[in-house]
Amino acid sequence: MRLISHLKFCRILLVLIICSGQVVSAQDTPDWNKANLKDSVITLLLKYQDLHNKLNIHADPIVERDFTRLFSNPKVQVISYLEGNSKLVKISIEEYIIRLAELYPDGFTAGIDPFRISIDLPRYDRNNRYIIRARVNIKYSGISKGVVFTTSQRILLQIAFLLTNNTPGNFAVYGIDLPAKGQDFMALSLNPALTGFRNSTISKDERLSLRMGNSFHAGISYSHYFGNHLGIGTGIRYSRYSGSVGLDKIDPLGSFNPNFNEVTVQNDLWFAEIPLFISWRSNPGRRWGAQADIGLSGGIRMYENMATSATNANTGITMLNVISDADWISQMNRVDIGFIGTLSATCRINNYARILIGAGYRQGLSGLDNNTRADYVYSKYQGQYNPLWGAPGKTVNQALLLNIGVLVLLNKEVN
Amino acid sequence: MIGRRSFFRGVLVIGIVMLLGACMKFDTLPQLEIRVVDENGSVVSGAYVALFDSKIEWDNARNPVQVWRRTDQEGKVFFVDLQEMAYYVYARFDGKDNSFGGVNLSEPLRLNQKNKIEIEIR
Repeated sequence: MRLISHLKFCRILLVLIICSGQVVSAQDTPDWNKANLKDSVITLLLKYQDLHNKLNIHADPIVERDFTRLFSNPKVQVISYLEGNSKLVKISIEEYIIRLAELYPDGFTAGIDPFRISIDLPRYDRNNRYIIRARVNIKYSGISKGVVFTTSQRILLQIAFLLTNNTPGNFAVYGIDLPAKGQDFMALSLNPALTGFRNSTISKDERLSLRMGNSFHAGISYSHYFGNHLGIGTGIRYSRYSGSVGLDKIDPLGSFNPNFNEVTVQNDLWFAEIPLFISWRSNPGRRWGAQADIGLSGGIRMYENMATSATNANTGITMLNVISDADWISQMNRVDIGFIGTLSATCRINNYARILIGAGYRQGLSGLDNNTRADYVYSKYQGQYNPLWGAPGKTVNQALLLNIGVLVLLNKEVN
Repeated sequence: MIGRRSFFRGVLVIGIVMLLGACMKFDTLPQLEIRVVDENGSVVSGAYVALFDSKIEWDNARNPVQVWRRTDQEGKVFFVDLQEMAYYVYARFDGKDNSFGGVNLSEPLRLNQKNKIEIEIR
């Protein structure tokens, strides 16, 4: 029954993964050849780079004129890095040329990374004119008043073109701006895990031992990034914590010895968890990046199972369900609070999807049990109950996670 | 926007699945509550009780199916996670036991049932 419920859950996750890919809406008409459009945009940008790098105080007016002609008109507003990142302003391209010559008499070079250019599908503007949004990584550098200035930025260009006889032409820059910083992501993650329970009293006991078990977590989360690096997120997680307590042998009760050796008390707890976390990301490369989430996670226990086994000292047979503990569930808290953190590498598949591969850790902070058995010290080796939920001190859960998932950008704006 | 809709739909679906999972009914293994009384019908607290799966083991009072338990103030002991079978019950306290009479259950225990019996010791 439990297996069926796991399979259903996995199937739904799979459907969600498939559905999440449908974030790009189709454009009906015209039928754009995106590769050709991208080639035209790259050609325009390489011209921009070439002419921009010839601008200086001694530049030929023809160069300035040709550079201006790359834009729809001389009044086109562009973001200016000429006075440093802290003084970003939008000025006309006409003014930009003048300011560049004043501040950087020897020139201000622009280096475009042609491999990190992405474009959207065109949208209709007016009079057969269409606008494409292109995102480009540009590195600017120059010397102003004896000080070297270098900056790398991802910028958003609006590029206008005319559609004549179904052929795009007359490409020109219509604006240069900063891309929207805020981004929203949905992450679907599957987490094979090594889980267990910790209790300081049991840890110190020479006859009792705590063992971790293989388990499985999965979740869906939503993150909002305020800028290039920091964001916040939440989600919902399905988590199973498995772990066992081992005991060398059961002691006699009175004069009655059950002859049970190598006793194992297996505990499995299923939780629905809601994490609240701070996200950090970095995308230094075109394809690879890193992401870290750290925060708190509240869980509600949905289901629990306890199974015991032991070896009969006389027969050598392994016996199941050797301990009767009808009260173990009532010893436990329904709600659990813990710390959760993950660190993952991200690999970009396309503008909207990335694969996540990494590791994570969850450590319970609140106690899973709410009572201590009064006779624990006297009866802890006699198998009268599950020792995990009877030992003094907090029993908490923990999990080492392998994080495998898909990260989907929910915004249309890609930066 | 489609992405956001998918996200919230996904959260809703997962929430429903988890809720259904929490509401699922699983079979409970047979349970047995044993009340131990003496020849006067008074409850015996602190009596040692064990279950055996055969008469031979019962005769020797060794190799019980679960650990030995002691009756509480009401003379009761409660065994859980048992199998669907007719166990042999042994109860002993202060030199008295139930060896004089019926020692095994009249019929096998059943799933999802809390079975109750009374054992007299002399």
